[in-house]
Amino acid sequence: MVSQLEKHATSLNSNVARSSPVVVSEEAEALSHSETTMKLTPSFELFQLLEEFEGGKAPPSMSGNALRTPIQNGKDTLAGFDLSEYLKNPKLIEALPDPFKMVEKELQPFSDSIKELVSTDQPILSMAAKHFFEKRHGKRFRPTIVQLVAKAVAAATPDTGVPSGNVQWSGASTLAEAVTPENHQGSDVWRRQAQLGQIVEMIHVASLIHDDVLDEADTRRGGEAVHKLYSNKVAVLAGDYLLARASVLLARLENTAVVQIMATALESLVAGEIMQLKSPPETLLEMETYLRKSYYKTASLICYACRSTALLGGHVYDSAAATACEEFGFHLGLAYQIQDDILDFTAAASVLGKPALADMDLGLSTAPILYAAQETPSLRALVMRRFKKKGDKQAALEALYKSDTAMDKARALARFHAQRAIDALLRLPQSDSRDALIRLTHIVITRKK
Amino acid sequence: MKSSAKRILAVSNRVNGRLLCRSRFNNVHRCGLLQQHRFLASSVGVSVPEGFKDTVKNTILDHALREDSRLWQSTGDDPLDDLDLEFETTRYWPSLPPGVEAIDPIAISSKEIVKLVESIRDDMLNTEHPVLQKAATYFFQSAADGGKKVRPMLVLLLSRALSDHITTTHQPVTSSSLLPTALEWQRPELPDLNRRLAEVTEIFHTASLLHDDVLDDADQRRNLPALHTQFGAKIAVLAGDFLLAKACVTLAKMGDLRTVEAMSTVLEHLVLGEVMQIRGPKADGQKSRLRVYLKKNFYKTASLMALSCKSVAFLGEYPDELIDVAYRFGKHAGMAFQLVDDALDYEGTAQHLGKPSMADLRSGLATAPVLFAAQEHTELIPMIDRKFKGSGDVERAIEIVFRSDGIERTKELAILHAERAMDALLELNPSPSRDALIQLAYRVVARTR
Repeated sequence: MVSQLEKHATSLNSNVARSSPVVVSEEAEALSHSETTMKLTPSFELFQLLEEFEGGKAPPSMSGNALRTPIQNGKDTLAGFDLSEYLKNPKLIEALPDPFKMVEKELQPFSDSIKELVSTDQPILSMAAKHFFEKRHGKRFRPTIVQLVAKAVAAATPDTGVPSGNVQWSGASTLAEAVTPENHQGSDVWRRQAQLGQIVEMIHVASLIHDDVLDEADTRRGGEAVHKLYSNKVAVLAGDYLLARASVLLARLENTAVVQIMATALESLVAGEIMQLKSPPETLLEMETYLRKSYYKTASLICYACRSTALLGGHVYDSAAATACEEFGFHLGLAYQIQDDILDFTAAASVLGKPALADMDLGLSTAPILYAAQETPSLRALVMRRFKKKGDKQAALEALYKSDTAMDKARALARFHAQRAIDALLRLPQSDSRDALIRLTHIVITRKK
Repeated sequence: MKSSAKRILAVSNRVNGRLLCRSRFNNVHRCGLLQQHRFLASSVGVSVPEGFKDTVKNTILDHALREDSRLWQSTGDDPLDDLDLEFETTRYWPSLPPGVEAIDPIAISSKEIVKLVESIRDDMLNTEHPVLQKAATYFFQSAADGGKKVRPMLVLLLSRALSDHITTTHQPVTSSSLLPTALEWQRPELPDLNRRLAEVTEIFHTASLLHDDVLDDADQRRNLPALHTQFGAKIAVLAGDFLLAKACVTLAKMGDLRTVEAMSTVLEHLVLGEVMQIRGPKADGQKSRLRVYLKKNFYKTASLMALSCKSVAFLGEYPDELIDVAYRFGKHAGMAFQLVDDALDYEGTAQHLGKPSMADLRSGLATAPVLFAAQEHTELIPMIDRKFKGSGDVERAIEIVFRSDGIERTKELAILHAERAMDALLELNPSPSRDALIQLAYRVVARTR
């Protein structure tokens, strides 16, 4: 009966009745779990991908997004936070705590992270390192999010009334004592959550490294075959080592639900990369395909990490707190990726006079181009053939610049997701860390590089 | 074009990070010199020099060897100092131990193995993405091809042997009823848990093969072309990651923390074994070379068997003595298995093995036959140290090994390990499945392929 509900949800949710190209088939999912195991629905079936006027629909209530009641511990000074106000007047956001400064010190001891391994005095190399690990930002984006979410859910008392009532697979860690904002710092729970942040970083870097593996065809170009082949070996091994370490550390968190969720995150990363490599041409034009791919490649790791952080904090899978966390991570991840894709056209352009165009070189169409293609039909063929013909990229760029609306629509999409992320956060009780996360969301869509 | 501009272009073309593209060449030369300088400055901020990426990955691998060097000395509670079995002599070979019935392990496990392959192919790995589907299920098309499935066989037979050790009245073992029903203190879904464990074991093994073949640049695997020759290195690596992720999800769903930790440790060991093989610790002296080689064999092969057998005991919640029996059996069976593999690399032909022979030597690997031979024929030592890269090394080494007793001594060590494995099992009460496992250990060393 549950899978029927999900089938219904899927058909409601897609403009075209096309199932996700990479997710394990519904039959397989139905067969692979039983009453005693948890079912993970992909987050884009739990939360909204597109605004209504673009064809999106609010997903129906189901396990994973059912409880959306605000958890209040008193007055919330940021209730009804409207992002557009803070975008019009950027000074306003500075009233909220700085997210990175807040957790900078406490993240230091947990450096299993690779950045410390490659810390170097060479400024150019360290800049390159920062880029390698965090495009354009250089700060520990993912561990910071996890740490702040950990603090934010500490302020929410774990739900006692759970829809399922079956504690065996509620997913919540068993805690020696209840977590409060006062006893959270330095506790075992806090330690595990910080460790999760490192695990997320490892998985992220491992996927970056594995994405780097080149096919033989590429290695023979440019006559650097031997070097690239060796590079492949190193890439495979280094990525495998990080994944193996992450698995062991994950096991030591002593929560099999979290292991399952993070393993599913890894699966999503792989799925996203493969989607990017091989997609049917017609799907390349659809905004939903692009958003799903962005979910798999970027948002999934973040939103699953957020849900897991709540579970480690003693909240059950279906609780209001855990749902708010995943919803926040989902929308933040998408906002981050969309902004990234916008910057791919605008950031380097403002320095160089010319955009970077990395995605287009890989044959990928991102939000700005897709919106331009909606407006300019001649662009669609170029998108579908992945800009393979000479002059395609130029033509696409010109169409984008000529369009009055394409870039604005992309920005609006990023803002939609950022606002939804903040709406989810507002369901958590007010705390410095929660407010810092709101500021983080603002940073994500206002950053210029 | 001015020479200075040419130089800048040359550098910028070598700088080939994520944001820079080859078409940059077409655009850049139209800029003035000043813009080219700015381009380089900003490009350093946003791009990663090729050499640096390799530095990062190499640093990660150095970390694997350095930071976790404790893993070499011991693996949890097993110091791995009993692997060379010096001064031992065979006791049963060429017969089975007394009182053991000759029961065919393949016959009684065949139905379950067929079910296992189908379950992996149709349930666990069933995705809707055609490329990923093909890649992931490459080795699971039918139970007939795709390897001997020794590892799942061990898991399934051991689960029965442990159960029959406890119960006094044994249900007859037929291939339709191999897995024991749960005893009163065990989880009722135990048969399914054992099946899932067997699947996870086989998938971990297959995933490591996919990656290893990319690492070794192999052409053939199990009488099929190596996956990466069909789909490219990148898809092979991603498919391996996908298998790993799926297996981890299954593992987590089993909900047993000790099993999750044990199997994650396997992942670490697999990588450590590969890293040791590629850039291993400097071994000085014959004895230490042999010991390092044997440890590497443990990490690469025996660990998966040892820890999956241990996990069978974890899942059945057996007492510590039986957990130890299971571990010892798997460990020594695994060591025997790999030693025979190494001997067959010299003796078998490509047709028999399903993979190229003399492969180890040709890829610079010194295995037991050559290490034993070197104890008498010291002229092999410099060849070993330079990984047989000198002209004529491979041919000379082959000739010396066949003149020496290297291969016989390898087989003898394999037999000693197999007998240790049998001794572990003989601590269990007699039962058909126990005897089938003993027979399996016997066949491991008696085989010619």
